[in-house]
Amino acid sequence: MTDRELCRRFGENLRRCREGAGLSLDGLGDRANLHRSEIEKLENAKREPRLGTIIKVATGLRVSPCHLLEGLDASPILQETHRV
Amino acid sequence: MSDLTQHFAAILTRERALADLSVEELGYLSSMDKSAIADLERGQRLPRLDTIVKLAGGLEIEPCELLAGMKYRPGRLAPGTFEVTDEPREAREMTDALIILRRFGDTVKHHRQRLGVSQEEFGFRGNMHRNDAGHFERAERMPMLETILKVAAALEVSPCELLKGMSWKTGRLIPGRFEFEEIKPRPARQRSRQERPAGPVPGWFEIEGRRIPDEEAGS
Repeated sequence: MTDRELCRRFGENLRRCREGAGLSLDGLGDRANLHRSEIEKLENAKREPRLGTIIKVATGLRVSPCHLLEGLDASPILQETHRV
Repeated sequence: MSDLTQHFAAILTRERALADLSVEELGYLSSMDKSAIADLERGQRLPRLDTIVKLAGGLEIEPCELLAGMKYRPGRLAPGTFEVTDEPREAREMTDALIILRRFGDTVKHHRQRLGVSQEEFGFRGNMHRNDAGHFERAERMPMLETILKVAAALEVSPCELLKGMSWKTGRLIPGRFEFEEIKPRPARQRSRQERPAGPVPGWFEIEGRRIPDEEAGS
């Protein structure tokens, strides 16, 4: 899993949770105090989220941040690096 | 709305008393029906802009005097804040992200010490710079997604564990509202009593000296 892959998975989790909650980009933006374009960039893996953004988005979705990090694991990246 | 009509009613009643005019006389001078003035003084309706100007004319005062003490406080945005569980109250009220950075740093330090690894070794395990652990533990840097996951892997915990107890309190719009100052007493004015004409004489508006007919007067 590359770092690019991490962002892509995060974006997929975010979109799935948002659509599951029946929220539009604007709806989630209002709840999380983020601009809709920022949420869109996160969903499309055009931007890597910071800790604060992850917390804002999770709170806006009324889910634990764990849901957004589901299936994300950096261990393979580290193992790859340490093998070389 | 009702506070506003009540306040206007009180000012109008006072100004009419100071001018020593009856409801009927003010109606006559302002080309208005006396029942409309009575309604305003009972706080039963809001005056239109033209009504305010006409009443001020009849009372021989500036229109703004009928609006004395009324203010509108504009709406504002209450900013959102980060929160973490089990923090003392003063820490909860911090508005920037420092509160979650501190929590992140404390959790990192806790797990690093649990594993018994030095900051330097932690950096090596996470494929990060040797100083990174120190930066996080001193809440000096906002970690990004990849870093959070690397730190979790290096500390052998789930990424959730590092984000536990953090939340965001959404900012919201506080709507605007009317505010009223106490109505201050002021002395009665000397007013020249004029001979009243027998029939109604329509008044007019003036805008910068220009005469604008009052189309509703005398109808």
